Amino acid sequence: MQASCAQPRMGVYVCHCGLNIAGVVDVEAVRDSARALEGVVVARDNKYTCSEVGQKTIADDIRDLGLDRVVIASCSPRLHEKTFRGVLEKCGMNPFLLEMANIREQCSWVHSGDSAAATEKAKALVRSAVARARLLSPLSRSEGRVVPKVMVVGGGVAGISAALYLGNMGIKTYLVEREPSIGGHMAMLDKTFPTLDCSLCILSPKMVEVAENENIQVLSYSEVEKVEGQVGDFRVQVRRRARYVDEAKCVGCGDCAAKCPVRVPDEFNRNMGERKAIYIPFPQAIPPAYAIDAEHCRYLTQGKCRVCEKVCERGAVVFDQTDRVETVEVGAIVVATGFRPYDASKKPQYGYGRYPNVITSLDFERIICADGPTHGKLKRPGDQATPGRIAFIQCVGSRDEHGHDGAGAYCSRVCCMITAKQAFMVKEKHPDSEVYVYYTDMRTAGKGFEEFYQRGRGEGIVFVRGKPGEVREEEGGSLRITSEDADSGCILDLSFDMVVLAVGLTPPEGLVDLAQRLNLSRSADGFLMEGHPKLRPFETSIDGIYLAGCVQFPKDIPDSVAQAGGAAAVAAATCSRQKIEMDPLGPVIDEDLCIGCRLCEMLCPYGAIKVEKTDRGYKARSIEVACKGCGVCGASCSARAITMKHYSNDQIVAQTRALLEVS
Amino acid sequence: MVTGDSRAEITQRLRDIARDLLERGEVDVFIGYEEGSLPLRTTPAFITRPDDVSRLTWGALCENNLATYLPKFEGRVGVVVKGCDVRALVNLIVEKQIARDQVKIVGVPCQGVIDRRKLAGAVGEGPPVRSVEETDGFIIVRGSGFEKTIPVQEMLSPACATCVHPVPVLYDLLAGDEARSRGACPREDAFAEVERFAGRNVEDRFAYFAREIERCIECYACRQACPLCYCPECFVDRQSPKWVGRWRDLSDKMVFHLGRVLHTAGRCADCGACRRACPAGIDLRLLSKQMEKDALEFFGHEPGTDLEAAPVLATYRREDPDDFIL
Repeated sequence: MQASCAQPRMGVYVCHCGLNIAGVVDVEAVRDSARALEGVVVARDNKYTCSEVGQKTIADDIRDLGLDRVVIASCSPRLHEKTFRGVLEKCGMNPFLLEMANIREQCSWVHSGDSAAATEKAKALVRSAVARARLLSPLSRSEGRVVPKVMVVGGGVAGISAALYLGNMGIKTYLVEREPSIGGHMAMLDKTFPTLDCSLCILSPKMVEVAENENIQVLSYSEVEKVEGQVGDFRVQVRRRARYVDEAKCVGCGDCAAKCPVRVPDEFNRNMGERKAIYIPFPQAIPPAYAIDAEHCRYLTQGKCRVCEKVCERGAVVFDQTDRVETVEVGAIVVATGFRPYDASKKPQYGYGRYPNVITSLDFERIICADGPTHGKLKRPGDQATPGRIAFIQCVGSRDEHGHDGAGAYCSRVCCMITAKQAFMVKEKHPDSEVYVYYTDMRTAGKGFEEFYQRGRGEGIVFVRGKPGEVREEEGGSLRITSEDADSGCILDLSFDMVVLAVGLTPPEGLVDLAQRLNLSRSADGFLMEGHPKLRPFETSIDGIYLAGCVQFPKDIPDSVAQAGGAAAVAAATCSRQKIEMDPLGPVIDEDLCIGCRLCEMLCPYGAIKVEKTDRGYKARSIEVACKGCGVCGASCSARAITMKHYSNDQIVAQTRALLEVS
Repeated sequence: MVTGDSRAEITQRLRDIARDLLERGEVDVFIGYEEGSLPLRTTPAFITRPDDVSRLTWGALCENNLATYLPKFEGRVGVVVKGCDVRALVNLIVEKQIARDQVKIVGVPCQGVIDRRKLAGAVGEGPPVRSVEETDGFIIVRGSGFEKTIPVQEMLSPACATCVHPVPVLYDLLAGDEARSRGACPREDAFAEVERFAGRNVEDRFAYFAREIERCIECYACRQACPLCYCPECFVDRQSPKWVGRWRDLSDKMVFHLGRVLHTAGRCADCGACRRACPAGIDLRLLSKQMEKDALEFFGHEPGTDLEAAPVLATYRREDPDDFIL
């Protein structure tokens, strides 16, 4: 695998990174120690190696000194490997003859207290990089195709927006939604802050637009099961759950539901009303088709009934449907699977689930909504009485530094404004009612938000700075809250008719599995990690997979839509490429040594190795386009028949040896 | 003491089975044991013609693990296995080195095999053994001017003492009565030896291994005998990168033995082939046995007992324990 027998001519460039590295590591000493290494023709230090000047220095040396290996000691290769490979390429060198030593993230930043030791470590890292660079081989990139289609996973407002942006650009888009209808949480809201627009009034035209856009195909009642391939060429297996209703035939007349004998709690109304086993989640649902809830359907559970089938004039009910798995090819994926409201019953001190008149902010939305279980009449669930005194408790499941009970340490960003809106709506409907808001801080950063909050204060809503320790139920279903008012120092002991818990936003159900299937990282809060917290907010660590909406972090509707636009733009950019160049990082399999044990095939997370029968027995073969270069096959090969192209055993051993040498 | 089928009975059954399989064309070759050219030795017999089945024999000296030969055959093979041998065979199937439908497994309910070193000790220094006769429960060795009768039970290989599955866990045909195999060692006693050893302090244990492994002459006979060491190129033979030196140095020997143990961890079912093959008489079982114990305790995996079990150390489950990782 060695490129040439002649001693390579290496250049080593040690970066100051301003004071990021030079503030801790003695860069000159590292440079001098590199200069003494075998094969190193030139060693320099630069203020910023990635700058125009820094890059030119390298280019000049390659030309003037005939370098054939370049070692750069700077930041993580994740930041600038691409940049420096570009420099080599411009100079006519093979870009894979570059090696980087990370002396910033893995040295100066973590050893800021000990300059001397950090300098020694930096020297060792450079020595190790030089040892590997000596054994690097020129490699050539292969090309992959680009399927100019996008899959958007999650049909809430973020997914809907992303799909519309993409569809309107002329890009074929699949919108995958787990529920029978798109719409997500926004469809459940009554009004939106701070303008008090009716939520569904502004969402449903978008939903209709999705249905009518010829570039968008909605795959409702479906889930992503498996993803293979890479940027430009993903193969996504989507499980299309049996709906038992033919979407094309159903016109949503509702005859079936009218006759269906099974009543179940209506999850769209937060279990406060009832629906039938054949149902449409809400009248504006897209696709406008009914679905049979197989868990409750009498025919599907007990084998008798089929009333819906009989009454359906269009013959849309099809009981012989089964789940089927469809494979969809796309070039990019936008993940927009939203959030899950915090489960308030995990805070037993507030009595949610035990006291009927303690509800969450999402329950409140359904109660106040004209389409909800009370038809918009403000009634408390316990006895359907109109509550005259209402308390809101903020930060339930948010800003909880203990992090117990699935609560987040983060601020969920939207709950203050949701409560301001809901309190305002109570006052609007019942001006005589008394409304208290127990808050930690009111966070109202956003266009028109603070003004809206001040308007609420003007309406007589009482804001109490304090977090109640508990809610106690009293006779008659009223609720007592004792809490300190931190502003006045007084203890307030008040009784309310209803308590609303402003629950935080937590990562959606099944995100751990989805992240694993897509190979995405999650941040400490459990949401999906963006490519860079500031500069790559739509991207992820995987090329071709992008993020939109609350799945990345809690955000309000305008922010979700904005991120959806960004994600759509980057996904479209991917789809507009003619071809994708793929780094040659995959395995080389020595068939003489391969024993056909199939371990690599079994372990490969990307299905990139298949064992085939040859005339010399079973041998593993790599499927280059599917490979992501993770190295699992190389590490697992019990016969050591697999070498990773850019991380050969020789290279790693040389690197390790050099690292362990005592300087 | 449990008495087994007489060895003559089992021998006859093996011959019948082999003849039957070969005549009906169900196997291309039948692997069993035949008398060696020296007394006290049996040697593998590869029978391809029904007429040759009379070469087959059975007895307490049939110690070799015949599963070792299986990956070398392309066609259909009949093979005689003891309880420990079949566990290696199961591993070979799991590791795709041989297909299940390619092999006819002829199990023998095992009564234990003799440890030749122990036997040599019992016979003592003196004139060479000229002939040996095996009766049920006893071995009679004769040389010029002497004869000794030795109880088989006292001569058993140490692996047999801790054998949990004397009756093969998997077989197509069984030559003998299950009930008359050697009694299984209760699982809780199987690891008594390693537990005792693990109870000693680190220095002691290291000194013990240093003393044992110092004697290694790096002949790699243990590797050759092992049914699970089938890599075309062993890590010790690799030149680039060169993992192990050949300097007769204790550390090189240690790397080989530790490497070998780790490479067979979760796979080795303690058939004892390595120990039998070692010309230096090194205690090669102790570390392997510890690995067997760990596989069972950490991952609930008993090597070579389940055709469906994925290789335990090559796969990862979320519930895998990790508290042993430093």
